[in-house]
Amino acid sequence: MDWETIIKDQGVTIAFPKKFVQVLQMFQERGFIILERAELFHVISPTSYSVTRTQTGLSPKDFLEFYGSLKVSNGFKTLETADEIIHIKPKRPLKMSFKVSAPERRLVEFAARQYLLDVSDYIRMCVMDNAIKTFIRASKQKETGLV
Amino acid sequence: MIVKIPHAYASVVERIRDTQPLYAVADAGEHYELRLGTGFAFDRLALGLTEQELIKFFKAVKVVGGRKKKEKNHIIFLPRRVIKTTVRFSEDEAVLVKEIARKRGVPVADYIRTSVLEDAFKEVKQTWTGRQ
Repeated sequence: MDWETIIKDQGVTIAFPKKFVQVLQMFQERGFIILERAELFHVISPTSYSVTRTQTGLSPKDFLEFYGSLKVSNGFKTLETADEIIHIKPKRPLKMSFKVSAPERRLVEFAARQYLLDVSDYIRMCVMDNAIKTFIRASKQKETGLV
Repeated sequence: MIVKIPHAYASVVERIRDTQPLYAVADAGEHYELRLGTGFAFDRLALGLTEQELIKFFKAVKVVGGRKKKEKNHIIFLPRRVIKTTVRFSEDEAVLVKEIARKRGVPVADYIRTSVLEDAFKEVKQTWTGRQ
């Protein structure tokens, strides 16, 4: 299964005007799918992510304009003005459950606090981080043929 | 979960103390008590046992508040898991997680639990090491 099969056309998609072309490189480096449609760039990702102004290389004014111009489908955008961070989050209609013991739950709560996240966000971060790393490793292995 | 280890396995207890600093082993008179907060797998080589000795050790230890399981060269202690945790995923996130779990040959719930607990455990270890 490749990346595009996983993402299909249902990932969280942001669309922005082509004048913000300099932002594209950052999305390319993250391995997101980029499409050109009419006057807009479309960037598709399977999961949530954040973009800081420094990463975009935009001025404070342009960064705000970039945020305003973002059209998000299958998800939501939020802006932390003070820290100049844009958060993109997909809609999450599916629930998955697992069982833990009381000490395991406390362990997860402790770790989540270290990241200033709630437990759900922390769990999702760990799972997606591991899954994406595994996926990228498997893809590289496929390309190189190394075992 | 308490793992009760007979006194005959004092050398194994020493190995357990050396290999993982987070969980304490106490001498409780008739046996040693290893109190585990999470599931834990012990490797045969790390315990310094032969295959036969591992089988004997597996039979000798008693578990309270959980269960024991033997897999090839490992003894796994699993606590009773009664707290249900639910997390929301987008469709793409779910596809990715299910695909990776399938490749690893484990149920999705096990994959999620292992991913989270491994990371959380590392976090606690780092904090614990930093405080020392």
